[in-house]
Amino acid sequence: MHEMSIAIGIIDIVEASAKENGARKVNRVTVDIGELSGVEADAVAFCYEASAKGSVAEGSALIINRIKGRAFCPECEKEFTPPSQRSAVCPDCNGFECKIIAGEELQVTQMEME
Amino acid sequence: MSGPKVVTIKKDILAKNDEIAQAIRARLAETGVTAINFTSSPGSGKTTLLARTLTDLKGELNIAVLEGDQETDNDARKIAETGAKVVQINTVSACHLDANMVSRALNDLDFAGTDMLFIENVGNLVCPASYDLGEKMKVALLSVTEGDDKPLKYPKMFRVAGAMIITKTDLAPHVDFDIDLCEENARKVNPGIHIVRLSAKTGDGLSAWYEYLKSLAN
Repeated sequence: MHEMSIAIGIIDIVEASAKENGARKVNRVTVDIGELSGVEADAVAFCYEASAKGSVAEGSALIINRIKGRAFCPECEKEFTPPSQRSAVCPDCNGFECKIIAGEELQVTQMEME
Repeated sequence: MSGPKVVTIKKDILAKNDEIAQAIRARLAETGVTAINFTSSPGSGKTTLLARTLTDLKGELNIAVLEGDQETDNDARKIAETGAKVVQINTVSACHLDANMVSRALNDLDFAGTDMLFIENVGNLVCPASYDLGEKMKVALLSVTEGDDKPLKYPKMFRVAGAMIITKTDLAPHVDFDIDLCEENARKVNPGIHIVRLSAKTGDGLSAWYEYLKSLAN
């Protein structure tokens, strides 16, 4: 995945929001990155500083909430943690019709600015 | 502003791409065009299969094509030889098509009477899985000269694809590819995935592909 373009996407959202709120400086940006999103959180963190240069987000801290993957089996009516991106197969009944309910997030959730 | 304040945002990072993709979806729906996004590793046989499909279904289905490559218009030229309308997108540095590129390219395509739009993505099993181009379905190709465990190695691509096409089956006797195992692997990742095996060269399996393709058209 494009962690650099993800970092740039974060900066785009930050800049728009800073403008909306009349802020001149951003101190902190919080993002949710799900374990099943296909995005490498560490790589995003690595790219963030470079992407933020020259923008209102320059010098800001990036806080990443890594959201654990969760799936729901409609047969067992139970939630479980899928082992990886690979599949959401119920560990109890081996059912395939499971729905992923968490872990695919890729979102800017909060900003601290002034 | 006096002193720092904390603001709740809740904005999806890929939202911009998804908004454009939805607009493409609406635009295609207006004229009744079904779009298929073809993905695979480089060299799996996408262009060859599309060209063969366009030739064999001429007169039955009116199909236009968007070709995606970093450089050259080689693939668009091959498609143009079949008589189909085609536009080449050169991504230059990007390794996948995104909705913005597709939206701009659609402005150069004359849609009159088109039933289907084939979007041939850049050869890459990673990034195209995450970019909505406004398609009805992603179809992932995998050739017998690759590994039969590819669906397990690139799960996101095979999970978001509605169908998998195993290509170059004419070469199967010469390689160690286990076709049944490959299908089993794909179903582990995506139990409902539709699977077709074919050879664009010999024609083996093409009728089943064409039948499936026609069922996808609106």
